[in-house]
Amino acid sequence: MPRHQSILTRRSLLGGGLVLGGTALAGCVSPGGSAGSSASPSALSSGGEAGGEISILDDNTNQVFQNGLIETFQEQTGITVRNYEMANFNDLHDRFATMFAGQDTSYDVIMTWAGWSAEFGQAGWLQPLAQDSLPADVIRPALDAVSWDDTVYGLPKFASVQTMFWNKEHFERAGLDPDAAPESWDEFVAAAKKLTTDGRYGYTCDMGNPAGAYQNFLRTMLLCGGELYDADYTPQLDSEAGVEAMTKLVELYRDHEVMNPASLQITNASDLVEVFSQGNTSIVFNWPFQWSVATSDAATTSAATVGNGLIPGINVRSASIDGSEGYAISAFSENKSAALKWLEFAASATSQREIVEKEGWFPVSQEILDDPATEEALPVVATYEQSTEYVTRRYGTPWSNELDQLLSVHVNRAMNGDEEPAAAMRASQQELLPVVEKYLG
Amino acid sequence: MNDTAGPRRRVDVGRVAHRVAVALLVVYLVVPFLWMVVYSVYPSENLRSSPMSFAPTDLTLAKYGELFGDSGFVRSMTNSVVVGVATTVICMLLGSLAAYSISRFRFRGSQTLLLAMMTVQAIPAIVLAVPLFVLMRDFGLYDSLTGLVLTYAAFILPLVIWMMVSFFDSIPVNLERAARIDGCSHLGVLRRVVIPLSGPGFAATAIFAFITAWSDFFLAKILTGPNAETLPVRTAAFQGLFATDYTAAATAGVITALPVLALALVAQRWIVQGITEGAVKG
Repeated sequence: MPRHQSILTRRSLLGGGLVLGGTALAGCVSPGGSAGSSASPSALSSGGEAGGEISILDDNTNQVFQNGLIETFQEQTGITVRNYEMANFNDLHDRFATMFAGQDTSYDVIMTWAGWSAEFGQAGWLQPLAQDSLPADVIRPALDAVSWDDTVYGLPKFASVQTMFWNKEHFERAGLDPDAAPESWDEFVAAAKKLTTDGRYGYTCDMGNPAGAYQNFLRTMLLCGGELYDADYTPQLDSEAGVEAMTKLVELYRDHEVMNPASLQITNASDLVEVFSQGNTSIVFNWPFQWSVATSDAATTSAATVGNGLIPGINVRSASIDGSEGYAISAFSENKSAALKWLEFAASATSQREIVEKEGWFPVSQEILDDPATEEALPVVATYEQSTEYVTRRYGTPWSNELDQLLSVHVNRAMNGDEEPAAAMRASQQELLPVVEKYLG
Repeated sequence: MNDTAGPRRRVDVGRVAHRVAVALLVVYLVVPFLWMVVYSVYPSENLRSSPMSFAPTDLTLAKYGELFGDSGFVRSMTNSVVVGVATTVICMLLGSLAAYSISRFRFRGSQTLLLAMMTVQAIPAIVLAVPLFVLMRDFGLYDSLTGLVLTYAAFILPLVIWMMVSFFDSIPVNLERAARIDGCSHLGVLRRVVIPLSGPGFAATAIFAFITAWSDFFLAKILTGPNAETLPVRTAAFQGLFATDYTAAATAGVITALPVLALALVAQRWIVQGITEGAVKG
């Protein structure tokens, strides 16, 4: 009887170790390169034959796809959605990074936003789209969420821009015109002072986590007429506009004392809506979904008592930040043509109508934006249309997370009086420069 | 002056300070958990209003009912139990045998082997995430309980061996020699003498293995999808990009913590005894 030979020989163990080590190295993606990927794929064009199956990994912001739109897509295209998985947004980045580094083909379509489009796009992990893939109907500014370095990596699924919400009853009680929004920063501060009464603060924001600190700072910097980077992506944090923005935020909190101290603890937009819709603050700058929550039965506010308008500017009339989301195609997808059909479907009027009417996000389809029924279902869309005349940016970059972290430290120090605004911005600038250098070389 | 207080007792300042320090430490450790319990049994409106409202009439277990009625949550709970128990059984079975061998048999490289096992522990899980993902996917084990159990066993086994070695080292060898003279095999000695004597250490190590597997978040997040999702991953999902369901998160947190708490209370005596034995006699 021949002696049984173990499948685990020293040679196989050594070989396995080398493979394992090699794969681990493949996962160590250099910021500027694409160690875990094949060469960047060529741009994908629309119009080809598409069929077969696709698999989608989405976040849990939209319910409309699993609640009917997937069936509609399958009927319209004949493409089968083999798997539609919704996961928590906060878990997705690590899952995507692991899957991409492993050149995984499990998912054809993934959810994305400006930061990930930049990070994964630069790494060569997202499929670039050709210009002819972009639907004529899509609202161009919404492409910012799916683009990086002049390359489009996907199509938006909804647009999200911050606007100002105010409590008309509070305005009336404070002797302010409930139907006239403050149009400048000085008017806003004056109103917030009058509204800060009875243990209630006139203004509340959500800067309790790094992303929130970044968003609130960026919005104020845009309101000052500044830009976060120049054309070569050199940070402008310590520019005049950057320092002025930080100063204005600190003044709101420390000098004018109109900013709710809870603003430094509130970590997401939903909590901000809660504070507003329970009547505990008078003015917030927030995403469009605030309208449906603040006018729901559970809120103390209603459609009659919630005002909505442009965010008042400091050196410009208005500006805002973008929080749009979209879909992108994995560079490792084995059915990219069918995946593109899904992207087109999500941006189409069919999907957009449901996203606006059932979930309260702004549309990315011009046809839906122009449809009177849209404003009827979501009155704040009128403000969105106005906001397109002003700057709306997010500056999603491969280093977005690092920027959020380092900036939030100095923003918090400044807000707490531990650092002068100018010093905070100088320090942030000095810390950000090598980060950008690391990615762009 | 009428002295009715009896003889004056000396106040032991050191003892009082010690007790105050212990009380503060207990408060520091327990309050976050208690706050989580409070959050799970009050509507979020009560806790966000100013001032907070803790009216007994508002107490509710509605969220617990909601979560236990959610098939996805129940599945993730079942997954956690299966993964925790299976990992513990595998680690204790293999770990005990390996630890006994290292403790009792002298062979070349035994100490190097022990050291090498701990060196592996020093590698952060994030470095191994991609290779593990690729391995699991290629072996068809991605998003499966088997894959997760094997992964956890690989991470936890070295620690189990280390802990068990110190417990076995604390048992006098003479007892085993006597058993051998009475005709016991090596395995018989292990089963009849060593394991009963190292019971507390065995229990402490098993609980450690279970808790490590039960509470892992990162590897479960990377290696599972909807099928093999465990409780910590499910709990984290209550925090979204734009919204957080604090009540659900707190309720899931309490549900996740309770088995560990119960286990620790039941086996408290063994744990303390086991840790003390391993630490002092080794």
